[in-house]
Amino acid sequence: MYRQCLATVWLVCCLLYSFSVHAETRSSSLYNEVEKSIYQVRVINHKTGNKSVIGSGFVVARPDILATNYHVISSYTNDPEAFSMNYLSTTGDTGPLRLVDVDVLHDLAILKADTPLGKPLKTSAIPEKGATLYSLGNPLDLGFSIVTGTNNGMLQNSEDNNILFSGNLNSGMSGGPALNESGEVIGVNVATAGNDVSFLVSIQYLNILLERLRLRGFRPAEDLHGNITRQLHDNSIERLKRLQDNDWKRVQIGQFEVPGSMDRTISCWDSSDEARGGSLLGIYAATCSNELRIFLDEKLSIGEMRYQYTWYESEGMIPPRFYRQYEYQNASGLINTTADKKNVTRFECRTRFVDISGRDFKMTVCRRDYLRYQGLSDVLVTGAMVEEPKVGLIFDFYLVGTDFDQSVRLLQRMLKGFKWMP
Amino acid sequence: MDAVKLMLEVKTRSLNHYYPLERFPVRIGRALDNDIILSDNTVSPHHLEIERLDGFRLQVHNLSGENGSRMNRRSLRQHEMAEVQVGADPVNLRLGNRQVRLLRSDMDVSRTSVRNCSGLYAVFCHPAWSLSLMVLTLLAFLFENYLQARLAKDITFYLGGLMPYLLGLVALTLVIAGISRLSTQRWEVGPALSLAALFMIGPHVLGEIGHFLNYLLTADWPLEGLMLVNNFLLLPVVLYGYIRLIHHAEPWSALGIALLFSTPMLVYQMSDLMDQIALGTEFTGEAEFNRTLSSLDIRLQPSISIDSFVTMATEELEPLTGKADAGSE
Repeated sequence: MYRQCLATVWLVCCLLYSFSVHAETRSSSLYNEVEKSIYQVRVINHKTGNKSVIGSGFVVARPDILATNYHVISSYTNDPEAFSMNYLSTTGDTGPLRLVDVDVLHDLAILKADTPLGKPLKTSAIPEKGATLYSLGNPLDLGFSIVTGTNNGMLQNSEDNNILFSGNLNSGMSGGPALNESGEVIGVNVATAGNDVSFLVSIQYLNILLERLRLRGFRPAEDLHGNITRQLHDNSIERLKRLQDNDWKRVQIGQFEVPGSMDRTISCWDSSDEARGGSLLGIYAATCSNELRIFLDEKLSIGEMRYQYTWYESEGMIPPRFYRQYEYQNASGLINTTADKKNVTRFECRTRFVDISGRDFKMTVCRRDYLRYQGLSDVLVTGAMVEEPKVGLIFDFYLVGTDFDQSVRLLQRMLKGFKWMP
Repeated sequence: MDAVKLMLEVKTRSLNHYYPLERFPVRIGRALDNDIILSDNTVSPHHLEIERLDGFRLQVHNLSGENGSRMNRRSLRQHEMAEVQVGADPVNLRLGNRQVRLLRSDMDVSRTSVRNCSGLYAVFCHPAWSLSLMVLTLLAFLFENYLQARLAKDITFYLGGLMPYLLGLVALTLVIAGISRLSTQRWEVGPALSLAALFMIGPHVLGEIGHFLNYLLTADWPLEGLMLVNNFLLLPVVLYGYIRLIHHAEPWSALGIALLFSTPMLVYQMSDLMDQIALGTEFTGEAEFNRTLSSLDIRLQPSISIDSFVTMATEELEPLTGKADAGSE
């Protein structure tokens, strides 16, 4: 679960990592070539006048245009009254920045300066696997640096198609460019899982965004928040529809055959409890989840989807005793996000008994809506088989920041995919 | 009926004193020259004088100006004379803090002196009931231990788990019996055991009923309601029954004592309830719905199809933010 590690490393500027800059001839010449196009991007809190978040950025497309990560400047987009943005050059020059547009799905943001900043870097296609890449930025506010690493290609099993960069990115480098041998941008630094496992946003998404902005002359977006909400909502609908149309793998759990992985972005793991000696309850579980976490702010990431099947078997317990244990299990395994009342409503739930493949399940659907992102909800589904005296199945399904109607439709297809095998 | 006499009853703890009133006037007080002497510090040396007018009609003369007198809850001024008829109901007098009654010797006294073992009171009376309640309580906790254990265990494990409950039962019984002994001068171990067993098994039984109803109705309110009953009513009600039976208290005074003894627990439960209400209004990220499961699977809700379930969810779970916006406009 490298994503969980990612979340902790995103932009937290308090861990001091030791990092090394490989002394290579190419990297030193490359640094000199692009130095004037690399900037530190800073978000300033008006209340104190000091920087609250730092990241990196680079000149692209036009001399006054900077590209960086959305997560670097998200506190500004979430509260433009309280924050502003500026840049710091390698020579110590600073100046204000304005936001042009963002792509939250791929964690990109385009900023504009009042004066030309430097020569725009060229972009290029991703080189072959194994090629040397050079990543630039200002790690931990220590000074502009260049890091050498290896391209390990686009991630196949994730929805954001990030590039796996085997090099050491650190917080503060987010938004900086990753260059090929010729000094052309092939990706944008975005995250690290530590130990030389880092991630870059593929250049194609930056190109798409820049193309769109070029058409309107890099005029700042008028309804930025509305745009972000639409991007998220459309993406959720499109993703859920795609999943519904796929052929799904099937897995067997206890006496049920149930839907397994729905496509390459969802991977399934065995999550059975290790049986303790003398345990009277056999527990076998499979968990499927995607790796998608769309960054909205420091405390809120959406896109996660997870479903879990847990099979319970009584080892010689009388039914009331088995059901006592079964009921304990039914109380756990619920949604765990850091969303609070500023972000979401309370959950509203409905419980019914549902006939699924000839077995009765006590099924509950819960929904809570995002207050600032119209159309997005957290959906929580849980169901427990109730008829059998000595076996049980608990099905949990949750989606974070998703379209409710499409989620329920996906649920409908999943439930119809259950098959009881007596 | 000439044989019927007027009596004066002086209430003392556990054993009342009775004085036949034959020669009038009768003077009552703490001084040794009175007809009836009450050695109570709140009674004046010469407190009250009673004169017979005719038959059962009496005149009460309040002599005390210190701690006062009351007749049938009415306060008497110093030197006030009041007339009163002693009928089927006794006349209640209060001299200082001391309760005194004027009554007829033909008054029905069965209500206060006979142990009433009929109906529900039987559980306190018969030793067989007390023992059965004790055994039932212990069996219930034994079964509960058995249900809760997830690992295979020997019978000694379950019996070992029962010991704290047994200890609690015995300790509670002794405390109750001890208090009763102090006030009634009798050992009432059987009723005390019944009372202790009821205190222990009551919450458990209510919990089981609540769980059954929760599943039956697919709702959380039955158990919540029964827990309110358990927290606020069980203790006073059981205490009331016990005090009525063992201490032969009048209904109102039994209620008063039961409430008095329950107060610390009631106040504790009230503060707990307030905390819960306060927490309930706080934001929670947790979904709240009925999670009960039951091997009996007795429920009122029928099973519906997947399609109906999905339709229901889509229709009933409408966008919450939209509604909130509409409400504020």
